[in-house]
Amino acid sequence: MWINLGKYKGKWVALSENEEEIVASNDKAKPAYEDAILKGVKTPILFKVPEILAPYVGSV
Amino acid sequence: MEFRYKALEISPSKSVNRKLVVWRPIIPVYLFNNKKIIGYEAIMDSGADFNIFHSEIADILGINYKKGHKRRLFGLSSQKIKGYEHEVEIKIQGFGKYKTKIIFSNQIPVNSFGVLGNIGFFNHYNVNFKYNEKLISINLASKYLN
Repeated sequence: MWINLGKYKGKWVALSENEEEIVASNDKAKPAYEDAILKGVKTPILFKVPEILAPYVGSV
Repeated sequence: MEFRYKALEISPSKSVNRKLVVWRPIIPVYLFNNKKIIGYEAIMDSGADFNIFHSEIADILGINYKKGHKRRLFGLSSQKIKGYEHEVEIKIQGFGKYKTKIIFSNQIPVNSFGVLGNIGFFNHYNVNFKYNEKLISINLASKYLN
């Protein structure tokens, strides 16, 4: 799943509780979270996919 | 408790259409406020002084993030970003909840992640990065053991 995040660049993805499935995505975090809840995920895990998937050497 | 590194596919160069798989120590953390619980993937960065999370996470938790203490942060680029510090209950899988400092910001760069840093995370756990096995071993720091 993680390796195929390219099409979600810049978006929030809501993951299933085992982190293996993307259950919702949105430009904003809250709709992605709420959509995942509606789809039956009790505690969605949110991840902001970086807009630029490039080498990373520090946090900000 | 052991966690796996996450594999991400990146583009190392703008000019060459080549992909590279990199492994990063990204783990889920759980945040609590009133009756809200939210999971959030953050990268462990022992070079960071604080936990820095996206402000949208605070919004979902019902926290008005701009009401926190204002903090300014600098990274490798020397670009200043602004954040607001809050005390939030946090948990990682296999351990109990604890209250810790989190800086929420709406200025996290577009190529970056939410960060677990020294004050609020690494001061609570002993973390062993086993990059060659793509595993991260986390134990409670001895000062928190009964």
